Parts: sequence; C-alpha cells; structure tokens
Amino acid sequence: MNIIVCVKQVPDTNEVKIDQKTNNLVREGVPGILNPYDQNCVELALRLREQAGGKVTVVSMGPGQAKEAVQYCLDMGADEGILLSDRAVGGSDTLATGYILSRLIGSRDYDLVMCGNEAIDGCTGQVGPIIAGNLGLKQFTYVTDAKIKDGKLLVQREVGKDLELYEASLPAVICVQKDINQPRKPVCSGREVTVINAEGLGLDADRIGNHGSPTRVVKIRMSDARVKSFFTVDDTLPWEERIRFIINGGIESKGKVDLWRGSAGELAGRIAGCPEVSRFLEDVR
Amino acid sequence: MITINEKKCSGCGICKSACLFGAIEVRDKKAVVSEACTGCGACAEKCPCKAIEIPETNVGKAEDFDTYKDVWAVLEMDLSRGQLKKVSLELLSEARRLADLSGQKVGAVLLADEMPKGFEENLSYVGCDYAHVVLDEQLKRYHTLDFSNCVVRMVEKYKPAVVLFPATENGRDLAPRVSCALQTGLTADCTALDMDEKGNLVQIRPTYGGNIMASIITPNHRPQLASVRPNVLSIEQAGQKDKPMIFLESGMFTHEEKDCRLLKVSGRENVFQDVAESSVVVVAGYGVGSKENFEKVKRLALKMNAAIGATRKVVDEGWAPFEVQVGQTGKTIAPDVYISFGVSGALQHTIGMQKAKFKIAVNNDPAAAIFKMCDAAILGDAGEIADALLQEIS
Amino acid sequence: METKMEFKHLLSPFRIKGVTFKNRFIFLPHHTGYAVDEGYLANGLFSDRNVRHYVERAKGGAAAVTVSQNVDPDSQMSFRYVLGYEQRNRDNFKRLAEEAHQYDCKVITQLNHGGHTTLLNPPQLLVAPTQMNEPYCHFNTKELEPDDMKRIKEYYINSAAWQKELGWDAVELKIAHDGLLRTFVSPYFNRRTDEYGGSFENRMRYPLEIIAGIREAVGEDYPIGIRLCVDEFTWYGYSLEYGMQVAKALEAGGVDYISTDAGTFSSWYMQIPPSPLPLGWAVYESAELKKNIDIPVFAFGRINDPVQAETILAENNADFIGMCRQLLCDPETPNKTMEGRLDDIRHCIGCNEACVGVDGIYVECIQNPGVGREKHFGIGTLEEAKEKKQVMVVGAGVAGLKTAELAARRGHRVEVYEKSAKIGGQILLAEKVPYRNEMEEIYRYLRIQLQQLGVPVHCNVEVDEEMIGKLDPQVLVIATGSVPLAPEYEGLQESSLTVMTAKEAMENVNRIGNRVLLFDDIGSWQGGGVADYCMALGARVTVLCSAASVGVDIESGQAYLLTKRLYENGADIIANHTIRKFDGDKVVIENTYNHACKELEGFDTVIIAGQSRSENQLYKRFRGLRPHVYSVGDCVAPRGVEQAIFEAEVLARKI
Repeated sequence: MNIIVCVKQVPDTNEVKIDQKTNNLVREGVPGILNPYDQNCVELALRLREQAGGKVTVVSMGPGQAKEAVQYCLDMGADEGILLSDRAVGGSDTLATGYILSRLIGSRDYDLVMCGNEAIDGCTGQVGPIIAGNLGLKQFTYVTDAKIKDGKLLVQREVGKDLELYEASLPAVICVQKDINQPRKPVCSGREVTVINAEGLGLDADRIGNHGSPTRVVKIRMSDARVKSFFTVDDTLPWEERIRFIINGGIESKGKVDLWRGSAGELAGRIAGCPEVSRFLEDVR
Repeated sequence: MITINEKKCSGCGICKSACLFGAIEVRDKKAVVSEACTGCGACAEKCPCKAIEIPETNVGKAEDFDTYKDVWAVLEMDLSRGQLKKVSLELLSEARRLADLSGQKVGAVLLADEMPKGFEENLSYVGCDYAHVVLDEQLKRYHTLDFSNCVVRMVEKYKPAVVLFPATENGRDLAPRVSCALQTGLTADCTALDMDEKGNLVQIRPTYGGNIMASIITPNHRPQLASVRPNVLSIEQAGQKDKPMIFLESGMFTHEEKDCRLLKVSGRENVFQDVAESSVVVVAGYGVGSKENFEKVKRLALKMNAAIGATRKVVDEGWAPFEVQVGQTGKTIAPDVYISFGVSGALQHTIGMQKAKFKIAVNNDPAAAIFKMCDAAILGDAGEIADALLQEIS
Repeated sequence: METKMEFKHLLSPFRIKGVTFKNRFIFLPHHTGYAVDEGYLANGLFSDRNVRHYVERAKGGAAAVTVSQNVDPDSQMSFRYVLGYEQRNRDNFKRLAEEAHQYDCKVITQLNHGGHTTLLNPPQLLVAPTQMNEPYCHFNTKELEPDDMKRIKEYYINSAAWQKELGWDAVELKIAHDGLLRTFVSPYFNRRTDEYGGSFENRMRYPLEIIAGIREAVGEDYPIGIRLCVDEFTWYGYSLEYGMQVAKALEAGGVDYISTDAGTFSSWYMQIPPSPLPLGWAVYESAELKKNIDIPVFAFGRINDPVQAETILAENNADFIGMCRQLLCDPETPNKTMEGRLDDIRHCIGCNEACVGVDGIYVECIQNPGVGREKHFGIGTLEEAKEKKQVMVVGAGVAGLKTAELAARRGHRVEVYEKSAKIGGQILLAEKVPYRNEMEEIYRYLRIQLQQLGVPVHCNVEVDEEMIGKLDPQVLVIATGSVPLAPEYEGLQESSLTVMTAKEAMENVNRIGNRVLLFDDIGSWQGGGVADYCMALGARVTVLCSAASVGVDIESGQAYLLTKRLYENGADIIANHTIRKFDGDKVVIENTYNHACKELEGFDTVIIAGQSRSENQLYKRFRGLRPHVYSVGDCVAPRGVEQAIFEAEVLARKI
C-alpha cells in the first residue's frame, strides 16, 4: 500500500518570545520543528505500513530549512522524503498550497494520503481538505485512529462528543489529530531528503504564490490576548498602596462581598440564570 | 511576498523593526526579505523611501464579480435535540450586522433530514431574510461530499457575496472543501468580522500560535468564505423584520458519497477539554471533600461542555491530571466564565485565574479568600450545589 | 505526578562574559550569621560551617552561589557577617571555590557595606553620605569624608581582586538594603554638595567609581553584577521608575548583570518577603528591567517552584531565577528539576520563622534541619540503618510524619497510625489562617514522600495495646501532639459569653460571633492568626496582648503585616493586659505593670490563645511495651514546627 504523508515544518510557537523593547516576535533562535500533528500522523502511517505492508513517502513544501522536518520523518522510518522548495511557491495561501501539494501527490502513486489535522502556526486545518478537493477524493478530518481491513480503510473521527467509525474504500485523504499516539523517536536512517523545485510539476502559474492566493493579509498587530502570568504594579501609586496591591496578588479586592445563601436548588437556579453563564449553555432558548 | 526596490532602499532598517514575523534582514545596507513574509505590508507602510512593493495579483476579478450579493450562513443541526445549534444563530446574527453595514440581505443554508424545531422563530429572531433548505433522509448526518456538493451548487446558483461557516469539526471539514470547489478564499476561526468601504469582508483571526492578530480580505474572488467558532459571536435580537422566506430546494442534493459507510457512533469517555483554551472552566478545589464530589463537579463540567480544572491539592490526590492544574505552578487561564467548587482562594491558585471575566465561587467557608475576588459568592456545599446545577441545566 | 514538562529555559546554560552558568538557578546572597566572632579585629571569619552551607547548594545543582560579605572592618553590620577582605579567610575562601567548582557551580562574591544600616544594637558607628538616620534606626550617622570614601572604595576593589585570585568567578555589588551604596544613589539620603551629590549623575558617581575600580582590577572578562533595589517601598524612597534609571546608568557604567531586589530596613518586610507576599510577586520588576536594558536580569521574590521559574524565563521576564529561601529549604531543587522529580521538591512556605526569626542570629529553616547544620544533616549524611527494624509511628502530625519519612528512607519498615480522619495535625488549622495557607506544604511534602517510600498511613485508627501486640514493632514512636489547656478564670463558668481556646474556635467556626475579644497570651500565631481569621469572617475584633504588641514570638515582618491588617480592618489592640476574670457578660482585664483593672463589655465571644499541654497519655501507657519507645514533637513539650521537625530528624537517625 502506498501512503503519502504531507508534513510541515513550523516555528515552535511555544518558544516564541516577545522582544520586550519592540514588542515584536523574536523569530531568531525560535527552533523549527516538525508540526506536532504531523508527528502523530507519521506514526500512524508507519503503523499502517506495519499492518498492511507498502511504502510511506513524506512530502513537504517550504524553504530549505524545512529539510530538517522531512529528515525527521525519514529517521522515524519513512521510506522516502521529498521537499518542494521554490521561491515561486512562496507566499501561497491555503488554497494555493493545497493545489501545489495535490499536484506533487498526484504525480506519484498513492492509495492513502495523510496529513496532520492542522499546523500549529496557522491553525487553519484547511490544506488537507483542499488537497482532497483537488484530487477528487473522499476525506476524513479529526481522525483519531485508522486501520486497514480487507483492503478497506477503517477510520475513526472524533466530532464533539461523538466517536464515529467509518468503513471506506481507498483512495482517501485522512487528517489526523494530535496526541493520539506516542510517536517513535527518530533514529539515524541514512536516508536523505530529495529536494525538488517546481519545474516538472506542471503548476498553473495563476494558482500558486501570491498570484494564486485569493486571501491576503492586509494588517497585522501583536495579539494582546496572551495572558501574562504575573501582575504589574502601578508605579505612580503611593508606597503603601503598592504594597497592598501586591499582597492582594494584583487582584482587585472587592472588600465585603454579598454571600448568596439558600437551598442548593435555589442557588443552582441563580447560577444558571446569570446571563454570563446562560449564554454558554447548549440550549438555544 | 513583498519586493524591495534596491535602488530606493537606504538600508535604514525601519522595515525590519516593523515586521512582526522577522522576515526582513538588512545585509550590505539593503533590506532582504525571506520566505517568512506573509505580504501583510506592515513594512511598506513604514518605509520612508517607499522602496517596498506589495505585489498586485494579476488574477483579475471574474466577470460576474459584482453580481454576488448577500451574506449567508451555513447552519448546523444539534442532532440530539432536533434543533439548530446555537452557533448557527450566532452566525446569522453576525450576518445581519454585516448585511446592514452594506445594504444586503441575510440568507441561511440548511441541509437536514427534517425541519428543526422552532426554525422560523429562530431565524426571525435574528433577522434572517430567507433560507434555502434541502431536506433528505440522507442528509441527517454530515458527509463531506454530499454536503459540499450541495452547498457549492446553491452558491453557484444564488451567488452570495459572503458565506459564513461554523468552525465546528464538521464545519471545518466542509468549508475548505467548498472553497476548493469554488476556487475562492477561506479564512478559518475568525475572532471578528467586519465590512470595509469596498464591500470586502474583513476577516480577523489570530495566527502564529495566537501571538499575532491578522486582518485578511478576499479582494478579487467571490464568494468570500469565513468560519467562526461557537461562543465567539453573540446572538442579538434583530429589529422589526418580516418572517423569513423559506425555500425548499429540490434537485440540489444527490447522494454522492460512494463506498463509504458509517458503521457506528458512540459517546466519548472522559473528554478533558483544554483548560487553557476553554471559554468556560469549572474548577474543583480540595474543599469538595471527596473523590465522589469531585466526580460530580466533573460531570457538571462535561455537561456544560466546559473544561474541568483543579487546584494543586486535588491533583496531588490523583483525582485530576496535572494538565488541568490551574495556578502558579500549573496553568494560567482567562476564560469567559470561571466556576469553582470548594476552592479556598489561595493566591497560588487565584493568580492563575484572576483574568477570568466572570467568576463564581461555591464554598462552605464564609471566610474563604476567594469570595473577595469573585463576582458571585455562593455559600453552600460543593457537592450538593454541583448536583443541583447539573439537574438545572439538563 | 506525571508531567511532560521540559525545563528548556531553566536548565539551559547562559554565559556572562567569561563565565558559563550551567543552568538558571542562582543561590541568592544572604547573611547567614555563621561567621565566627573571636573578638575585636578577629571576627567575620568565614567558617567551616559557612563553606559547607554553600557547597550544599552547589551539590544540589545550583549554577552559582552568592556569598554576602562586608568590605569594611570598621563598619560592620554584625560580627558574624563575613569580612570580605579578612586575610584569615583565605583558606576557607579557596576551599569553597574548589569544592563548588567540582559541581560546576560558580561562586559569586557579594560585596556590601552597611552604611546607615546594621544588625548590631547598638552599633559602634554608622556612616552615610549625609548625616541622617535611617528611619527604622534611631542612631544618627557620620557624614563620610572624602578620605573615608576613598578607603572604603579600596576595600571594595581589594576584596574583589583578592577573591578573584582565590578562584571566585564573579563579583556583585549590593546597591540595596545593606545601605551605603544605596544611600548614595538615593535622592532622600544623599544631600551632599560636593561632586558626589546634588544631581543624578553625581549621586551615581561613587558607585560607578567603585565599579570602574573593580573593573580595572579584575579585567574585562570577569562579570561584575549589581544586586539592585529597584523599589524601596517606603514613604521617603524611590520606586521602580527611579530604579530603572539607576539600572540604565549602571549598564552604561559597564555592569554585566542586574539582580533585582526591593525594600529597605525601613520596609524590611519587603526585603525578605514573608507569606502574605504572593509567590513571584516581584517578577514585574525584572520584566520591566528586561524592557529597558540589554544586560541579563535575575528575578527574585518568593519563587519557589521550577514550573513557575520556567514560565518566568519562557516569557522572557528574566534570564536567571534567584532563589534563596527555596534553596535553603530544599537545596536539591535544581537536581530534582533535572531529574523530573517535581513531587520530591520541598517548597519554602515563606514563614520566615527560622531564616529571619525573632533575633535573626543564625539562618535555619523550620522544614530543613540541615540549614546551618549541613555537616550533620546535609545531603548525603543520612545513613542507611544497619539493622532494619519495624517502626510504628503513632500520630500523623508533623513530628510523626517527619520521623516516618526519614526512618523509611534509612530502610526501616514504617507504618503510621492516625486517630483522626486526616493527616497534618495542628497544621490543618494553621493553614486556615489568612496568608498562611502555604503551611499545608509542610505535610503535603511529607505525605507525598511517604507515598513514594511505600509507607502506609492508616487514618481513623486508635492504637491500643492489642494492636501493638499484634503488629509487634521493634520501635514505637509516639507523636501525639498537644492540646490547649482549658482556660481557668474566676467567673468563667458563670459567664454568658462564648469562651473558647484558639483551637476550639478554628474547629467550630459557627460559634464565632460578631464581636470577638481575642487574648494573645503566648505571642504566637494562635493569637494573631486567629484574630485575623475572625476578621475574615466579618467579626469586629479586639486583641488583648499580655505583651507589648501582638504576636511577640512571630517573626517581625510577619508580625508587622499582621498588626497592620488588624488595624486597617478596624481591630482594637490593647497591649500589656491580661484577663483577670469574667463577670456575667463582661471581661475584667488587668494591666501587667501596675495591675490596674478595667472592664470590657459588648463582646459575644472570647478566644484565648494560651498555653498547651502535651498529649502524652499514650506514651505513658506504652512506655514499657516495646524495647524502644520514643516520643517526639509536641507530646514531649508543646513547641513549634521547627522544633518538631528537628527532633524528628535526630530521632529518625538514631533509630
């Protein structure tokens, strides 16, 4: 069975630091890693190969440095690794990326196409389905397990609170969730990554790069949603206020608070009745 | 990617500081851009020499570009209740707001096996003008090819300018498939939407692991697709509006999903939502008193689709894993709603949740420190109240 | 506790000039009081005890230990404060460098000058840039003459150069609570009219001259750091904004790192912040510094946990984590972090009882008897028992748990029996007191260790002779604690008021009314702490103290903050009085000096924090039953946590 796994090298977004002076991201020294979802995906692919025999080919698209991620997959046990690296494909959005990868995949034999459900930098989860759309294949996202049985694919999706189990004929595209297995550690394989450029893939120039990207970023700013794990003290407060603020843990103390009292049922009703809470309750009231 | 006109570039490096992605370096007194460039143009704005060009796409607009009109939302069903999911109304409400900004109408798309309870009333409440409904037994459960082909056919026929999808699992499965078929742009997980003067949908979302907020548009393609997560938008009652027109579509749906069958659907056990990501977090402290009571609180959290959190002592007891520990030696959280049971309010814990927007604390110690920093202070037995609340919302 | 946490920042090395620190744990400088005082011109001697104290933290895995020293023999903070330039310290200074280096731990000199601050009472002479007293101290100072300043500068430079020769790795100057350099920098204390005062540049001149002199002596590659007070937290003092200016000027003057600090002797509770100050409260200071300077910054301030430390570093709020009390309490914190044994880390609870204490003579720790006694109780001194015995411990309070832990570590087969439903003894009540909830760490740590060691702890079991007979242990340890003495006062039985001991009050919260009279008779937390708790319940409290203030036996920083809380929450404090008798609904109190009596009324509850007595009935009953029967902790004599743990340590090593 021929399995093609699409992977991506991403910046380790947990390592991203903010340069305190410029309030920009410090990109230098942020290590590039194999997208964690892809690690679990490659592991699943290797297990399928163990189960059904065949070959696992890893493909990726990215700058030269992305070779490391593909090498990692080879060292996990993939049979072949291909990196498409070409400035012409730079600046592609998800539609363009999905198209390019589908051309790369389409140029080879495959029974099953696998990828991580999303990448931790963009977190769109779009490229897998777009590859499937370009190849005209059935797709399964949010996959938490897959097996081959009698030449058919048995695939499990986790959707909300449900576990769905499907049986489908190949070929298909599956997009794999993270943390579903323990990816094996890479061991020097001696296999090398093949780096190719876009020539020979027959890419339509109108569908790649900036030209081929319907979406464009028009503005960016630093997100202030990052919750800091410490409080800051207003330096202009008088010294005793500063100390009091610190002792309160930077939390505004509400002084005397009205305690709600009553029977459990009454109190529960009051809690559920708070507008801040009720808006999250499942009922569409 | 942007291009740098070397003749004009003075090597001042202002572009380098402006770039949030670190995609520009200055080498030999000239700015050099790397593949990390997203083309956002933040540098071009700041360049004093006007040496930076943002590439124009030479893909022209399609001829029928201006005929696309109206803001649609694709609705999703809550199968267990036979009614629309709340996120559907959130999307329609937002669609109403965007449509009003641009003088358009709001349409809904529903694929289902039967009409949901309260359909007309719900749509009326949020000011939806019309709905295209496809009913078929085979549309009870979501299937990629069936749903996407159907949606694509309706879009091609009716030409909405904007289509919003819920960023639920199935919504995120569907939307990119539709974008590929229509060869148009899609932005996933938007945290905010807007309309600009040109009638472009402005799609705002976090990227780069949440560190950057990006504003994105789809200037030359129609329709513009975007998905939004549940509980991000709010449901607003629309002003006086007529009842929505419901169009029952036929001929839009053909069962195409071949060689694929659903064998089984079962419930998931022990789903611990990510405590740092969830909008509602229910935390159990040691004051709940026993593992049984802790389990009650956990069941409540599951029912509310909230994350369950725990204080250090609870984790020590082995009732909850370290991953859900909230506090200085665990995670810092800032949910929309924080409900605690039996948490005393020691600073090591409260510092980890002080930015929660609405805080409710249940404790039987009237002197519990947590009461001084919450919005609703409830004196009572944790186990009893967790039980009662579970009943209340079931 | 399983965790996938990796401490990528905390355990990564960092280089400052020619020195590579193997991780980010820095043992912050502190006065230990271990230096030897042999009299005039023969004090501040760096002792064997000093060496072992620092080597212990090197063994435990810290990247560097910082040693506090006085530079000026004529102006000492204390005769047990190490003298940096004392030639007699040569051998032990060298020895410390050699032994610490064996663990790849660097040794940093911290050079101080008390200036207008001292630990002596009264001091011989205090000096300052301008003649003024430090507000906490009533002794005025000598205004330094240029010759004095020159001489002091020489002391700084010579100490730094000499210790570099002896093999020490870096030098740090204190511009913080030990006051001289800080007073020069301070606009309030420095009113000089020569070139060392009158403007910011002038005020910085003296410290910068000293730094330049040291730089010349030690060379470019040797790190020079500053322990800088960035916020004095006093009515007269400077705050972070000014502290930032100072930091920038120091950076421009060639300094290689800034170690953040806060507080002064007038705000001494901010210097060694006790438990009311939250964990990691001062991170905002190092974060702010990171925004304004390029040189590395050390964070400080009740950072006692590697997860917390890693977050601080990961968010780029500091480059190093300064820990003092945490490494006193558990010197092996860095090694345990490296080994992923987070559960084995014993956390500092910020009680300050033994490390600052009432008289601050020797630094010790209530949880770790090894502090100051590294030779006897330090890392590697716990020997395996030659003969493994069956040990039965009765009572799961602090003394019982600690004895069980160490006995089990030595290889004995231990079982613990507890009469009540929970372990922890009196700490279960102590932890309810406001700002004392961290006390639970004391038994939490022990409980986790007992779990790891496979020691069964049986609750809800009352041990009797039959059980002992059946279980047949060779060693019986009784740790049954103490209970308060029932108050005995004239008219008590007939009083209409609710009268309880502190323990009864904490166990029966519903019986605490709205108007409480709390009698602090023994000056400990049972008095002031329970008063605090009553206020948290919403009661109006009057504290009656037999001594001159509330909590005389509580560490002074804690007592200060406690008293402040009492006053700010509307409590009344009546000092120097005891309860004479009860009279219906009134309480008659008596002045301890002149015995004048007064009647107090309007209370509904009276809580008495008085003496306790040992619960030693079981010890007396079981004494002959086994070859070895011991008692430990409060059931020997009611004391505190420090004594219980020390006693348990000694006993467990004896068994």
